[in-house]
Amino acid sequence: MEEQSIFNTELSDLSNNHILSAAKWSRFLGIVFLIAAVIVLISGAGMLASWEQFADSLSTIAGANPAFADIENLPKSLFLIAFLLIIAIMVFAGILFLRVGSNGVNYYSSNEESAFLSTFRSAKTLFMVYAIFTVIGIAISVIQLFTLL
Amino acid sequence: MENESILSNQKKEALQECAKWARFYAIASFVSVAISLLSAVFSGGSNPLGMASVLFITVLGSSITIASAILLYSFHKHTTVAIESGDNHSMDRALYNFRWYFGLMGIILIVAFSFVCIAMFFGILAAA
Repeated sequence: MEEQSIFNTELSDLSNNHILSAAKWSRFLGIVFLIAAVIVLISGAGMLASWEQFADSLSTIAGANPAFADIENLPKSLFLIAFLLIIAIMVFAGILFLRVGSNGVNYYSSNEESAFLSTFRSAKTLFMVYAIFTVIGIAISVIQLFTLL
Repeated sequence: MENESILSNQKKEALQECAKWARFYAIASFVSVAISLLSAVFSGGSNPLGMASVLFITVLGSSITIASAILLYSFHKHTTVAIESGDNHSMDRALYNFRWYFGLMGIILIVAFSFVCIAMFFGILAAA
């Protein structure tokens, strides 16, 4: 159980409780992201190991839905790169969430300035990374939207 | 004054930087929601049921994104006020939004995971 430092004078008790709660949720998210990355890694390895079966199912899907026809013709190496990229992003996000979590809990118990700074710097990095990915997603969506129109 | 907080310059700077990126991410999220809704409407397709399900999923995802973006934007707004005025109440509001951004993400993850587990359970039952 986390105990609060008695030397807290800068932020109110309510603010510190909010930071602690955010840190706990962030820690939970970090753990889930890392577990999900492992699951994706295992699924990807299984899929690549039985590549022919996967290619057959892609052909079946492409036959039913022409939108997937382009995916069917993509090389195996591209799927491998995509998987590794997804796993890397999930691990990176998980680590960032865990950093916010652990630093936040550390700040609540110790009231150290360094822990506070680490918490919000990690949160800043998290928001920055998500913002960059969102902007990339927007660019891709705009291009797709123009091709639709 | 009782309601004032005395944060060090380093803490203020860290909070401000975090809040700035939170605002940028919130604005980018709003834009992405608008574009995804437009894409869902213009994606076309001949199957009305397929279109309706795509639209439903897009609206659901957009609602969650908008909620999280509002929390981040409020975090930025109240942080800015708190740092400029030294007001503890604004700082409480800012950190409340900061907390609930992570809380919302966690709750959504739990709900999504529950749905996946239920779907897998019924899938296994159907296969058996």
